[in-house]
This record gives sequence, structure tokens and C-alpha cells, in this order.
Amino acid sequence: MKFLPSSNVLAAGLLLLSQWTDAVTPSWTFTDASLQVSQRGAEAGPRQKFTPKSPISEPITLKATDSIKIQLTTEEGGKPKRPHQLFLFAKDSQSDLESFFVFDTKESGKARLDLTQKEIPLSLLSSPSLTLTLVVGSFGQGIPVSAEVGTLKLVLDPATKKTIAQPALKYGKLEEIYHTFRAEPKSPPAIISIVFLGAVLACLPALFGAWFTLSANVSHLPKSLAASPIAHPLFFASLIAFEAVFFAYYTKINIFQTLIAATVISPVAMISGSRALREVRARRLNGER
Amino acid sequence: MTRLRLRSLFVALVSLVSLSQSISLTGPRTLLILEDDTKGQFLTLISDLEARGFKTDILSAKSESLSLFKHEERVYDNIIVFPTKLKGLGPNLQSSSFLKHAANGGNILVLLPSSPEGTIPTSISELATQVDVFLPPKGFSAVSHFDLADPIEPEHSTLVLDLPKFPSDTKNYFNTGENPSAKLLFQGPGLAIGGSPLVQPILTAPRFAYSYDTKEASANADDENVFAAGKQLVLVAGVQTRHNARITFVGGADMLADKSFTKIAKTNEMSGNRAFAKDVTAWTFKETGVLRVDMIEHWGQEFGPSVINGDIYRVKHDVTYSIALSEYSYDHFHPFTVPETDSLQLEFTMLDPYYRIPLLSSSSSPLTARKNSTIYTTTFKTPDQHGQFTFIVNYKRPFLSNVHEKKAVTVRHFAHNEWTRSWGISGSWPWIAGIWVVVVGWVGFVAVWLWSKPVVEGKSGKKKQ
Repeated sequence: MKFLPSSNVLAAGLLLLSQWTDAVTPSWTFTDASLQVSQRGAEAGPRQKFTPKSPISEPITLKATDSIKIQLTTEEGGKPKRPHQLFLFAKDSQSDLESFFVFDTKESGKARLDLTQKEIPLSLLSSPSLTLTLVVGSFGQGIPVSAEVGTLKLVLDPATKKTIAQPALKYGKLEEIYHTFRAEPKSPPAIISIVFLGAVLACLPALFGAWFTLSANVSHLPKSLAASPIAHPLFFASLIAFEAVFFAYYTKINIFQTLIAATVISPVAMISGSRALREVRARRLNGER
Repeated sequence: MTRLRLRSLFVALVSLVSLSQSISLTGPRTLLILEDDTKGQFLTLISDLEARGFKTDILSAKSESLSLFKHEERVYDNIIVFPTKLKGLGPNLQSSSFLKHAANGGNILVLLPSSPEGTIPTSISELATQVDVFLPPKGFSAVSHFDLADPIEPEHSTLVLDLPKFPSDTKNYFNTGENPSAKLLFQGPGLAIGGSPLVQPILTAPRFAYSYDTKEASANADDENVFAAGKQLVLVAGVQTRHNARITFVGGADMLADKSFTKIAKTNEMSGNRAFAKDVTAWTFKETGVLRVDMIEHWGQEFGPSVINGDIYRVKHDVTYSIALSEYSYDHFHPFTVPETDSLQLEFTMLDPYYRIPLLSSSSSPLTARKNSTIYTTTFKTPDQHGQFTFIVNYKRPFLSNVHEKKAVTVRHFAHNEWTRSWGISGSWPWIAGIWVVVVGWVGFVAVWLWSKPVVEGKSGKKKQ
């Protein structure tokens, strides 16, 4: 009980003190602030007013030939005064890059900033919109203020667009790349191949049929076998063996094995062939062919 | 005999002790270029370094015995340049000597004077310019009127900062202190950095802070007397050369001085400066952020894992590539993990990359399991293009030592017996059938020619007879 009043007094005192400091601590602000966009060789545009609490609502467009003039008066605790820091910050909302522009300030607190595209760093030029923030601050007890002015949209010349360099090399992961394979070779529909396969295979019976209608036959086979029982079968077998070797070469064996097989078969074919053909000649001379 | 045994035991003990101390990967020999009158300000920093196993050698820049090289070999592994009143550091400490030290793999930590009256020796500003760091001239000081460290301080030149934050794909080696929300105290001119990817800002100024000329612009910071502002004003910057030597610039030496290792009046909490000093020195002197490639394995579908790191692969075959990475941390290597939003990428290149694909961590490689490293692996199909290809892992990231591994291999074409056989291609069936129809027809023709009995001949024969 005893302590209660005293602590109340203390609290009241603190409250008073804080109110007193509030009253004494002045804060920085600005008045008569206006922004004007003017085009080269044309009349200046309307003055757009803004205050620390109400920024310019519509986006400000800045063309290559335009220039922006910002004028204002800074005040500390209601009296015009020159601050130490009066900057306009321009921030790229995408990349978070931020640059700053320094006002030209007079002793009276009147300040002015002229801004053209040339003064904006290249890295900010490619940004779709820049957020402008005005900062007033100084040494001493004055509370500094930062206030949004508005957003700036840059309309670039085609020439300026070209000069915007590629962004500087930054270490980081790169885009992924996957190889695109060439298309696999394609065959026509199997049914077409099968139809033509049938047509080709049909040629064989057609050929043999044609021969037999022209009265081709193998009726002399017993006779020639009787005349030369070894040469004829050997010769014909060696010819079939050649075809078998070719088939093996197509499916399995390599060229060297093929050559070896051919060298084995060739003399057999030559010798037996000459004997067999001799028998054929004998039949011809007999008038049996 | 016993004496010998005792001796070997002693040697073993000594080597154990030296192993247990954490040691920079570059080496422990550290030169502190420090004048006697400033030595008292940095006692904690120096004793913290010595506790981590650095062998410090405190020399004045004026000292005649000071030389960075002996017989063309580095004398020191690490150098700390403390602020000095000297305008020049003398013939042994030219900017070229510092660069030669870095070119030979040595690390340098430069502490710039905090007070606007402090001078920056010419060789230091030359060194800075050559590594794309720009120091303000004498007389500059960084101030922030927002968020004051001490409301009574008239200069507003003590900045209170949060610990460094980086994008999520960058490893943060600078907030390892116990209190992650600790604030940092900074006083000094700051610096600016160029666009080189070798230079990274470690700590940047608060958004509305700026560095101005205290003499020329005491009343108003006009356009000509502001050095940099906002995030462009860098307070601590780290440079890593292409062969991984590190040079760090601290834009205000007081940040690492004893007087900043204290309570901050505003928050009534200890500043994070001491832990930050440890982080900055540890990174600069390669106790952190150093990567090691422990193993690389690649094998193709043709021979399977039985032929590791073979030189020849076939087109359109699966190839598996694995790389094991570990990271140094004060006294040991531990498995390295790539930040989630970052990616370790493998390129398969012949002039241009045909593939650039992420390598993913696998708990164990298909081939070798490793205890102290993470194995990153991927499988892809070799392109349908034969030639001399290169496996490239080019992992260069801020604050990490560079990993650039290349291996050239041959990618051969299909061998003649690896193609689809002709009967496997439906389009070729009529053609193959054509060949065999000819073969059978020819054999038949031979038979007919050999053994045919003339039919018409019968009549003529009879005539003959």
C-alpha cells in the first residue's frame, strides 16, 4: 500500500516525461511537394502534388526525351530547415535493386531534383516499374521520414533498349538442358511389305511354271547319274553349299570364315563341275540335248 | 628401449594435440600487420584466433624483418591488415606483394579504419581496385538517421544491423553465432563493389544509410559528396580468386574490435560482433566454405559397373555419373549438402552442352559408400552423336571454393553388328525375299540346264535315226 502511490507518481512522471519529449522531439517532413514531367520542346506537364501520406496514385511515365522535376520544402518541427539527407530512392520491384538520387537543397529547405533517363543506372532501366521513395533525415533528435512518392514507368527508345547490356555474370545454377534425339527411322506399314513380299514370292512358282509349260524337265538325271555317279551330285551339292555359305555369312559367320569355306568348296566345284560338264557335252555330241 | 618407446608415445601425443586444434586449410601462419598503439583495441580478436590454432606473428608495417616471401615461398598463410596511421606500408607491403601472396594461395583480411580521420595506405586501396572493390577516400563515414544505435550519439555513425541474409540458394556462413537475432554494430566508411562475380557482399548497409564526406558535406550531403547509399553501400565484402584464395575487406575495423563486443544500449543485448568476427575470419582463412571432391565415378551400360571411369561409351546408352563432395568446417570434413533451391549440375559437352542435368544426392552410390561426403549422382542417355565428349561439373557459388571437374571421354558410334538386322525391318522384307527367289530360281535353272531332256528333239532324233 505504501508503495502504490509512489509508483503511481512515478508512472505519471514518466508519462509526463514522454509527452514532454514527444513535444520536444521534432520530426522531419516536407511540404509544397510537386512533381512535374516535361517533354523537350513542349510545354511542361501539370504539377502533380504529393505529401508524406498521399503519394501520386497514377504511375508516372518517363520517356527518353522527358525530364522529371521534383520540388519541395523540408521542415523540421514545422519550421523550414535544410536536412543533411534528402534522397530519392528508386527501387526495382522485381530485382530489389535500388539506386538513389540526391536533391539540390538550399539553406531555406527548398529542394529540387531533376531526373532524366540518362541518370538512371542501366541495371534499373530494364525494370518494368520503379518505386520512388523520398527520404528526409538529419543529425540531431529530429525523427527522419521516408515517404513513397509514386511509381515510375520507363518508356525506352529502341536505341536505349539495345544498349542495356546483358546482366552481369552471376554464379548460380543454370538452365537445364536435355538432348533431343533424332527421330527413329520408320518403316512403311507392315501390311504393305507383306503384300509386296507375297508378290515377290509368287514370282518363283510363276517362273518354274513357265519353264515347265515350255517343257523343261529333269528327265536326264538318271542317265547322267549313271554316266558320272560322283561328279554330278558333287557339282550340284557344291553349288548349294555355296548358297548355304552365303546364308551363313548373312546370319552368323564373318568374312574370313566365309572365305575359308569358299576356298574349300571352290576346287570341289571346279573339278566335279568340269567332269559333270564333260558328261553334258557327251550328251550334246550324242544329239541328246 | 623404454626411452625410445616413451619418445614415440610423446610424438604421438604431440601430433594428437595438434590435430585436435582446428586449423585453417591454408595453414596456421598468420601475420598481423599491427602497430603497437592499436594493438590494445583488438585483443579479443587476436586471442580468439590463437585459440582456434592460428600462429600469430604481430609485426609493424615499419618492421625491417617483415617480408611476405622467402626464397619465393609464402612466409605466411594468412595476413590481417589492421588500420594504421601510415600513408604507405613500405616496400615489402606493396599491392603487388599482397596480390602475389593471394596468387600463391594466401588469404588476406583487410580492416579499414573506422574513424573518418583514419588513413588507408596506398597499397591497400590499389589492392582493392585490382579486385573490383572500391574504397572511399579519406574522411568518409557511413551514417543512418533511421534506427539509431544510441539516440544520444550526435554523429549517427554507429549502425545497428541484422546478421547477413542471403538468397535461399546461397549458403550463409556469417550467422553461425548462438543468437540468430543478434544485432551487429558497425562504424566506418563502408565500401562499394564492382560487378565481378568473384566479389560478394557479405554485409550491406541498411536501406536508407549513406556514406558521405564528413569534411566537405557536414551541413548537407550534396550529390558530389555522397559515396554510396542503401544496399549499394557494402560494409563487408569478400573476394575469392579463381584459385580460391580469399581477400576480405571490412569497411570499418571497429566492427571486429573489443569495443564492439559489448551490450547494445538500445536492445540491452550482447552484440553479435564477436561471433561475426569469428565467421568472417573463419571464411577468409578457409575454415569454412571449402569444398573437396572425394570421388568421381562414371560407367556405361555397355560394360556396367565392372568398368569404372572408362574412356569409351556408346551413343544412346545409359551412363551413370557420381561425384562425392565434402565440406570443411573448422577441423574436419563433413558431407556437403547443396541448398534446396540450388542445384549441382552435370554437363555433357562437345563444344556445347548436350545435357545440363541436376545431380541428386543419393544415400549411397551404387558403387561406393562414403562416410564423410555426400554422393550426387545421375543417369542419362548419351546423345545420338558420336565424338569426344566431356563430363563437366562446374560448381561455382558465392562463398564456396570452386569445383570445376572435367573428364573427356569418347562416345563411339554403333558397331556394325549393333544395328537392327535387316530382317528386323519390315520395309526390307520384299527385298530380302527377292534375293532368295533369285537364288532358288538360279539353282533350279542350273538343274534344268544340266538334266533337261529335249522334248522336240524326239522327232528330229527319229529323223536323224
